[in-house]
Parts: sequence; C-alpha cells; structure tokens
Amino acid sequence: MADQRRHRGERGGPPGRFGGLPRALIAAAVAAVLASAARADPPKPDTSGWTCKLCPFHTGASATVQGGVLVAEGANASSGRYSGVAHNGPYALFDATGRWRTKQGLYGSFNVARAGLPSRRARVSAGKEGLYALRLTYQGQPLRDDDTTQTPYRSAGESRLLLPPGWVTSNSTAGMTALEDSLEPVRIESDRRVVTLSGKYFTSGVWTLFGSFRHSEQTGTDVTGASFLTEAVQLPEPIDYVTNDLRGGALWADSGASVRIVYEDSRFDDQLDQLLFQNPYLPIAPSAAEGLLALPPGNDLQQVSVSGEVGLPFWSGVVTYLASDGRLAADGSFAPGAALAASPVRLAGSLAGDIDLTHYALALALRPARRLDMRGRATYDGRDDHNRTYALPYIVTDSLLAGTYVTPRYGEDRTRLEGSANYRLLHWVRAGVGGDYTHTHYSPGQVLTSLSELGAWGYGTVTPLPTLSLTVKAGSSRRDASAFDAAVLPAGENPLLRAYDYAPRDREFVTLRGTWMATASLSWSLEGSSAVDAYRLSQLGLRESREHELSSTLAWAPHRSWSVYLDSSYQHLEALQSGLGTVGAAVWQEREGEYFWTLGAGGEYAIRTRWHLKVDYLRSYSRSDTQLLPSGLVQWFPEDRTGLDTLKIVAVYRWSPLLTLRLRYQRSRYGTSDWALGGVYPNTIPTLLALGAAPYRYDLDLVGISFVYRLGQ
Amino acid sequence: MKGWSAVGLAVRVALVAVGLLSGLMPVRPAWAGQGAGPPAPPNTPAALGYSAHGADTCLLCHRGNAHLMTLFRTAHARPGDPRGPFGPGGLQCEACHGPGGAHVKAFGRKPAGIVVFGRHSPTPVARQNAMCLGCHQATVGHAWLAGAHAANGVSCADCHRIHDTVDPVRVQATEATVCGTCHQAVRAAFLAPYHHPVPEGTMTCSSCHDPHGTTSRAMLVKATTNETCTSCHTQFRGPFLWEHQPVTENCGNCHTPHGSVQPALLKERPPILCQACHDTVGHPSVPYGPPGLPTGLPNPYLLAGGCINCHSQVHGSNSPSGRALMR
Repeated sequence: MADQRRHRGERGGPPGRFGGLPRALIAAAVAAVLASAARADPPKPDTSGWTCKLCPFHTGASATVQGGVLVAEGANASSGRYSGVAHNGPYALFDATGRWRTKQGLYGSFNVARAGLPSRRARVSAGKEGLYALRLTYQGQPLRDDDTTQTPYRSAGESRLLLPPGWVTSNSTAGMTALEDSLEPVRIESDRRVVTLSGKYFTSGVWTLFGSFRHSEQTGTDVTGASFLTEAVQLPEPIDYVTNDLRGGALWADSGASVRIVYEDSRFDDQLDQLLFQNPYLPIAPSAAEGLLALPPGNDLQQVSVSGEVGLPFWSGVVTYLASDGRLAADGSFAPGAALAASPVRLAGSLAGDIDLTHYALALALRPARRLDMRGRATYDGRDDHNRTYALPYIVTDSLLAGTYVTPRYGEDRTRLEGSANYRLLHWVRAGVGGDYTHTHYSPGQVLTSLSELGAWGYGTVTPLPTLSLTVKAGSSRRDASAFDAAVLPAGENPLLRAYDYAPRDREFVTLRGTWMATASLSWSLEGSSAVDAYRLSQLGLRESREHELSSTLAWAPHRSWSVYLDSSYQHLEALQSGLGTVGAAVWQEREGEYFWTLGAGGEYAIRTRWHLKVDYLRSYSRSDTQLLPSGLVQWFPEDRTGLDTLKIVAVYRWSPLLTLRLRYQRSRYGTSDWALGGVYPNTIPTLLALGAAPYRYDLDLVGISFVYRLGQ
Repeated sequence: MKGWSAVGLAVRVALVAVGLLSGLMPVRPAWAGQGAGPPAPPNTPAALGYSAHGADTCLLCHRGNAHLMTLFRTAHARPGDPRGPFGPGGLQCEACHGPGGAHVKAFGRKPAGIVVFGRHSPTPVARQNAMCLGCHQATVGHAWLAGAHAANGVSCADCHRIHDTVDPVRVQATEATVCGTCHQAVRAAFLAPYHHPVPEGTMTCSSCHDPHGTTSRAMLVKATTNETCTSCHTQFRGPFLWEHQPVTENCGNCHTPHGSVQPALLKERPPILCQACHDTVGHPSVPYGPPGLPTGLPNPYLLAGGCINCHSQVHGSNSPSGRALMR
C-alpha cells in the first residue's frame, strides 16, 4: 500500500490538472508554424484565363424519393437484432436524398435512409463553398437481443424489481411453486439514438476551425445476474444511458507542415445508479431478502491533443506526431454496500481522484533512395490512476460480512518502438523487414512489474505481371514477463491469478495475400493467415492457441450488362488450457476448436435498359467443439452450431427516366444449437432462476415494393 | 510514472526540434504534390507544362464521357471554393492529373505524363497519392504516412471514386463493402453470428478505424483499444470503485471486435474464457463438463451466462461490496 501511495504521489499536483505537456506541445506547434511560414512555395501557373466555359457545374435542386412497404414474416429478435425488423407485419419504406447548390456557392444536401425502421438514419449538410460547412446527423441503433426470455419480476419504478404477490420462496427453483404462473415475457432489447452536429469554418488559406457535439441516448433492457451466496438469478436490467461529447479545435496547415489542436470532453451519465431486486430464494441471512446491484457510474473524460506532421529537408522525410493528455474521472455516487438501510457500508460521494491518460507518438517516413523507403514509430501510452483506495468491509452478496478489503487501482505505461524498411529489388520484386519492441510497466500492486515483447518479420512481394501480385509475410515474437509476485496482491486476492495476457509467450505467424486480374473482366483475390501462440511457461490457464484463416473472392464481369462473383472463407481457432480443480488433483485440460465457413455467390444482370436484377446468396456455418479431460478421460460437449442461409433478390424496373419500381425479396433461415442455452428454462437449474433464453433461430421472409421518383436535374 | 519521465521529456524535446527543423527545409517534400517543379518564369500555364485553357481544353475531347462528367456534381467541382481544384486560381483537371500540356500536344494519343489513377494504373502509387495529398494532406491525411495503408502501397484511388457523384466509400451503407474488397478475412468475420452492426449499416469500419492513418495500432481512431471501444461503450469507461485489471488494460483480452461465434463477441465462452486466468483451487477452476448440462445435473457455473450469472459486473463495480464483481 505504501508503495502504491508513493506511486500516486510521484506525479504530484492536484487531481485533474493537466501537466506541462500542453505547453511543450503548443511550443512545438508554434515553432512549426513560425518556421514554416518562412518557406517559399513553388511557382504556380496563372490560371486567371481559365474560364471553364464547358464545365457543367451543378446548380439548382434535385432529389430522389423512395416510398413503399416492407412486409416481414417469421421475424423475431434474432432476425432483427441490428435492423430492428423484429416483428411480423408491414414496415414503411422511406428513403430520400437530395441536394441543391446556388451560383453564389451556397450548397446543401440531405439523406434519409430506412426511415420506417429503428435503424433509421438522416443527414443534413449545408455550407458556403470555401467558408463554412455544417452537418447534422441522426443514427438509430437498435439492439434486439432476445424475445424468448421471461421473468417473474415486475418493475416498481425504474430501479426496483419486485416479485409478484403470492410469491413462494424456496431454496430451489423447483420449490418456487408460484414461478410458472408468474412468468411474463420480457424483451431484452435497447435502442441507441445518436445526434451529431458538426461544423467547420475556413478562416483563411491555412486555418480551419472545427467542432462537433454528439448526444447519444441508450434506453431499454439488458440481462444481468446476481447471486445470494450459492443461489443466483438472471435479471432484466433497465438501461438509461446518456453520453454527451463535445469536440473542438483548430487546424493550421501549410504546404510543409500542419498542426491540429483538439479539445474533447465526453460525459457519460447513467440515469440509474443502482438496481434493487427481491430475493426469490429463502434468504440464507435475514439481510438478504433484497439485493442491490450497482449500475455503471457516470464519468467524464477530458482530453487535449496536438497532432500533425512536418516535412523534413532530406529524403522526402515526413514526421508525424501526436501528444495527448487527458483525465478520466468518475462522476457518479457510490451505491450502498447492501440493500438494507442498516448496511454498515455507505460511502459518500464518488471516487476521489482521476486517471491520467497520456499518449505520445512520433512517426517517421523516409525515402533515402528511389527503391528504398523506411518507417519508424515510437509511441507511449500511459494510464496513471490517481484515485484513492478504500479499505471496505465486504458484504458478500447482501448476505454476510466477510472481512475488509482494499480497492486495487491499476495503471500501466506502454512504450512501443517499430521500424521497417522496404526495398524494391527488381521491377517485379519487393521485399521488406521490420521489427517492434513493446515494453509495459505496471503500477505497484499488480502481479507483474513489467512485460516486454520483441518481434521481427519479413515479407516478399512478387509482381510478375502488372495484374498479378503475391505477398508472403512471416514473423515471430517473444514475450517475457518479470517475476510473478503474488505477495503484492491485496489480502484475499486469488494468489495464483495469472492473466494469460501476462504469460511469457512465443508467437509465430505467416500471412499470404494474392490478387490476379486475369483479364479486364476476371479477377481473383486470396487472403490467408496462420498464427500459433505458445505460452511456454504456463502450467495452468491458457497454454496454446492457433488461428488459421483463408478467404477468396472470384469476380467475373464479361459484359457490361452482367457480372457474377463467388467468395468463400474459412476460419479455424483452437485453444488449449488447463486448470487445477482441487488440492492434490491432477491438472485437467480443455481443448476448444471453432470453425467458421462462409460461401457467397451472386450476380447482377441488366435486361436491356429497363430491368436490373441482382441476386445474392450467402451460406455461413459455424461449429464449436469443446473437449474436456478432467482426469485423463475425454468428455465431449455437444457441438455448438450455427447455420445461416440467405437469398436476396432485388429487381429494379425503370418505368421512365423519373420513375423506378424496386422489388425486393429476402429469405433467411438461421438456426443454432447452444449447450449453454438449449433446454435451460427458468426452473431448469435448481440454484439459478434463469430468464430462459432460447438459442437464436428464425425463418424469415421479407418482401418489399417501393417506387423511386426523381425530382429535378 | 517516474521511470518514464525521461521518455516524456525526450519526446517533448523532439517535438520542438522537429517543429523548428521543418521550417528550415529548403525544398518541399515529395508529398506536397501538385505543381512541384523548377521555377520557370513567366508563369503562364504553357510555360509550366499545363494546357492552354485548363478544363476547357480537356473537355473538348472528354466531355462525351458521361461518367467523367459526373465530377461536376461533386465537391471537387465547386467554383466558389478557393480550396478546390475548380475554385479561383485552381488548376482544374490538372490539379489532380498533373500538367497536361504534353498530352494535348500528343492529341491525347497517350497519357504523356498525365497521372492516371487506379490499382492497375501505370502511374506509381506514390505519385498518384502525392496529387491527392497535395490538398488533403493536412485535412484527412495528416497521419497518412504513419499508417498501414501508406506502408502497404495503397493508393487513394483504390478506395475512392472521385468522378462518381456518390463515392461509395463515403456512404455509410457501402463503406464496408469497399474495405472488404481487400480485407476479406475481416469481411468474413462480420458474417459471424455475433458482430458489430457493420453489415447492417448502423456502424462503419471508420467508426473505429481511420483509413487515412493514425499513429495508433491498427489505425484506430483513438490512441488505444480501450479509448476507441469506450468512445461508444461509455458505460464501461470507469473508473470504478472495484476494477477488473484485464478490462482496464485492453478490451481485446476477452472480446474480438469484428465477429465471433460466441455471444458478446467473446473470444471463448464462459466459464472457459474466465478460467484462462482464474485457475486457482476453488470453484473458479473446477472443470465444468457435460455432466453439468440440462441432461445431467444442470450447473449454474456452466449454463446460461456461466460465471456471469453471479459475477455480472465484470467490467467494474461501483458498489462497496463489489470486490468479487458480483454487486
């Protein structure tokens, strides 16, 4: 602890104060501005006589409006997870786009898409050429997680969940005799709505001022869980988040240098600080008749950054730089330590202190010879947590007091150096080598003091024909950690906690990329990669992982009126990990493999000048195999599978130059088998009152008809 | 932290030095682009290798190309914008395609020094990009040369269609399609059962990545993975009273961003994912196997949310009783 306090005191100064970094940055920026101002520009032709009489500049207004209807059959939450088409029935189709421009240089445009769906978006832009530009956007982001879930809980206000009258508590879900009659459907879904207003003002030839304000709201219901010692319950958690982001800055740019100064303030506010819920079980302790979950606290992130680039007087060199200093502070009050008013743990206020987020980056690009280019980059990312620690009595799941614990704080400094060189050996052969070194230094109180990783790679590209290119890249890296020090962990912390991201690791990888444009109409591309991670010293936890990917696309457009494509991909992930179940027991192993395939095909066909047909078919399939070796005997989990078949057909009929008919049909069939969800109903598990979510499944038909009308020129 | 103050000092000194150095350079960098060449008074267009009448010269031959003419409905063809190629004093077509005097003299029979854009263009990528960066270096490409696209020889025209009224890569609904032409594995990952809503068009690749280059890894829009993720997922930004170290360090420890066959874009399913670290003696490390499925003795450590059934506050807890991230 003493070390940790000393560590926090090293930076000094009051919390939230930006250090001397901005002064250094501003000095650098001013130096670049002043020095570059003295440079002379190369001669530019006098084009005052270029009148551009033949240029058909756009003036006036034009718009395209689409209106129609989309009918869904077989829709549910999983089919409309992100689109919002989660119910059967008709949806209005309305899209519009338009633009206008005057001879005086005033212009504007708008775009509305999917106005009848929760995933709607809209944009309005306007401005005066060369003077200012404004933009207002709206984006809806629905998330439909589940509509197969059910719960006995009823909302009593936004932050309290109560069980219905007549609820029968028991120490097992089987004994909750009122459960079946109390279950009501609850949809796990939320909607995010984001409005952004942004603008630019061009003050002169070299200065630009810019700013934006983004307001985001997310409301709905999510899933959370809570336990009372050995019994647990899944809860529908209300969501009511608001985030406001303000960003403003200035850009100075000359032909040889630029400086961008930006200030950002992002404030997150959770309208709900806590969630109270009744205990459906027989309380193990008298205090556990009700539970209390803390919800995410509000926070405030302020950052100031300076970035830009400067040209060097040799080797076509360019230096890119970034420096950023920020503070992140909690802006929400603590929840009580337990539901009961008599709880001994009540903290006033919120976290005292903040986290400093510091970033520096310096990148260099050089071309010392016609065939040689070199790059280097140094970055530093610091996370310095100045929040005070608390020694707190620990009330375990509202049930019993179990000692006092100190809140840990985590910080790290990460420095990364990268370098590479590319050389064109021959007209058709290019090769390169590179390397990187990353060093992470952790704040006191963590199991490691430092972690370092050194990597190297090389590649070769051959281009035997202008239309054929093949690149192979391979490399390896080695990660080493400082001594593992469990003694620094707070009392009671898992003494063998061993994050796999800390463990010494050897990584080898190879990637392949090829493109071939066989003819002007036929092209083929290929991308593949393989990586192996070996955690060479790990006896427990993750010990090995492998990842293999291959994807390919073939496209053929033999005629202006039709084209076809075929693409496919394959991915295989594999992991091996170990655990130690009980004292003296043998180490157990678990091997997991995931396979994911996709196959897509389709084409477009223009029938004379009036009809245009587009067909896309996609099949994707995944499989997860999990194999457990608890004591030398292999136990196989049932395979988790997903399968998606989708056929989309779009037909467009050009009725007249102004009017177009658009027909759309989509059939999608999706199924999953999931051992974690399949057959798990609210009362399936004696000690878990579940929401009973079913694995995703749908058989969706979408039919749409719309008319597109064009106005103006 | 103290051990790194020297690094900070060195970077600050380097920044000031670079700022001063930049102003002393006697020549324009190669990427400064358009119009680069030896001084040649008088500065008539012809003397500098340009056409005699600018776009009017070009359009005498090219105005029959309908696709080319759609340029005049784009932001590049705004006669009132002094920053644009068609604004006052602008070089019009030759701002991007370079001096066309020789091309005109050759009656257009061959490019004759004209910059031609595209993946299979005879013009070297560096020269193509220099034309674009001549105007756009500071505004969108200020970190272009620090990014992976520049390092891998990607040209601006690989992604952008300048003559199209609507550039597909600048349209939310079609941006990912353009990116996916090269990033095929990522495109496939978005077809996985769980993914960010990029294929559905409510997010784009550029929500997280800046294709024009940044100084961060993977050209993220923010300096780190966590700052990028929590710019939308602000509820997980913290700081919390009780924190979970892997969360504060890197969201990518548990999640994979593009697509996963596991819920919540997890790398593995709980309890297996959690047991990769929590491997001590006790209930975290018990090998929960098929006997815990509903067909046997249903096990809450394995089914539904697994570990999350109890430890739901894995991203951090603001409860004084949140030590085990259960409250």
